[in-house]
Amino acid sequence: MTDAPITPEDFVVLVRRAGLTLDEAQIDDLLQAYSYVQAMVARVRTPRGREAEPAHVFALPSPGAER
Amino acid sequence: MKPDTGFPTLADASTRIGDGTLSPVALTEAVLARIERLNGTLAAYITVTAETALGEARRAESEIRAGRRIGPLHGIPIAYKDIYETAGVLTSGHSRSLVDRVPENDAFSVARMKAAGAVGLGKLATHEFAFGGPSHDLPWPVARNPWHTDHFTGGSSTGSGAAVTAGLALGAYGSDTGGSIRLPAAFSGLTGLKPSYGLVSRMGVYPLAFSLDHAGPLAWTAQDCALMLEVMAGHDPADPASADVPVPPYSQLLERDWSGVRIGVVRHFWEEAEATDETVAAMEAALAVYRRLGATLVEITLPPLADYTATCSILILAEAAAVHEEVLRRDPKLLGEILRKRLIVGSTLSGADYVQAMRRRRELCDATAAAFAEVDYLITATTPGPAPRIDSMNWFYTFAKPLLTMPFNVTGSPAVATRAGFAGNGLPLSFQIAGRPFDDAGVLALAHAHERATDWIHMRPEA
Repeated sequence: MTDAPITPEDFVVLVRRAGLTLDEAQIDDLLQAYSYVQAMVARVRTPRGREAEPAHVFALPSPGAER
Repeated sequence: MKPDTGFPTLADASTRIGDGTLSPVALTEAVLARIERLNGTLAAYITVTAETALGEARRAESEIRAGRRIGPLHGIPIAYKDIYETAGVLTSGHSRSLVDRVPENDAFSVARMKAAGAVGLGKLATHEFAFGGPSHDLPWPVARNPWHTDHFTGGSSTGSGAAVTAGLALGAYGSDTGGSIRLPAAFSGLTGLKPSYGLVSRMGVYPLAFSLDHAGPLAWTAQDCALMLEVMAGHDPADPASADVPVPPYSQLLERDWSGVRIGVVRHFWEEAEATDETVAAMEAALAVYRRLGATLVEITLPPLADYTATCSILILAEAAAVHEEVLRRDPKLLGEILRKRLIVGSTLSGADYVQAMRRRRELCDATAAAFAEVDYLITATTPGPAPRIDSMNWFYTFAKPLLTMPFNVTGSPAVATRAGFAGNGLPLSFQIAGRPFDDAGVLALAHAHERATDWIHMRPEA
């Protein structure tokens, strides 16, 4: 991750990967707000081990354990 | 603003219908007359089903007179956000892409409300698919705040907020993925409940983000919301997230002794959101009410608000991009500009971004659960201030400032928003209370206690 603002060229790559095509004016308009999205993407990456589970992964009780 | 005009709350109307002093037909006619008079200005409704409503009201009246009253919602006029499927009635999602969509079946919770004998008034404006708005390039206009029509109702359940506030329905269905029930409750001056995740079925409700979507009520009071929740809640095997839990009689669990109950004050949330001085004062006043009622207030520190909102926003953006991917690629002009922009941004996120947000979500859920080991409830502001002017809002306002409502979407906790007073410009202020999973009765009871201890629910907008 980098704190640098995304370049228009790199943003176009992301948009194309998503199967979309935008003109230059649309790209400029979206880039106005993209720094906020980059900040959010960075913020969810707190230091954590490889083993950290996401939400919606359920731990079942051990066999014989009280439920 | 003026004192109560005598227009009944849902609970009052129910009591009067029950004792025979109010006719469901007369009530429905009165509400339809208000819709006729005010909807042109407020744009709360996309579709008004006046003839059907009058037919349902006549049937309800006849059944009640014959001694066959089904329950407290029998003969009560309510309305549905236009993302709830309604058999034989346009369900557009407020989108050009579904301008002709007439479902064959009702959403699970709509079917339950019909079975309870409620009168369906029609379908309410929303942000496009509960995500894109306020948008001026859609087939229907933006709903307006009845307290001041230049101002935002709160979204995404915009029509729900406008309709109940103006007396164009006694209760309304909303949905809440990042705050879309509680925000219109706050800006429009209502009570709105985001139930526990899984308590109300999402079957037949257009999705925004599967893991965060909650269906729930907006109404004038917590008591009204409790009456609606009794009907809306219940296990639905067709919804994979539906919880098979008991549905208590919420409206009979509102009166409580609050002594010894511990309420955690999440002050740093409203400070991080840069709450206005008026909101801060309103929060202190609300805290004082709970102190007088005997509750113990405890300052609580949770992870930063921005962590909850970043997590919630990434999940919404990514899940919504998946939901609408096909139309976005095939014919994006079918979608309004604001929805399109938000979906494009969501489409640029990676799979790893999504999973990292889900891992952060787990950490945030654990931190919130730890707080609930110390206290019974959490209280914080619903919004930093009153409703903004519609013309001051840009398409990325939800990214630029953290939403105070999002933490309880991330955790799935029940959370109710209710009035905290009024700003100097006459627009409502609001606070919210969250509880442990499935303690929906408790959060409603706390909101009810505040509503009974203050005068705010007696103020109505000029109409």
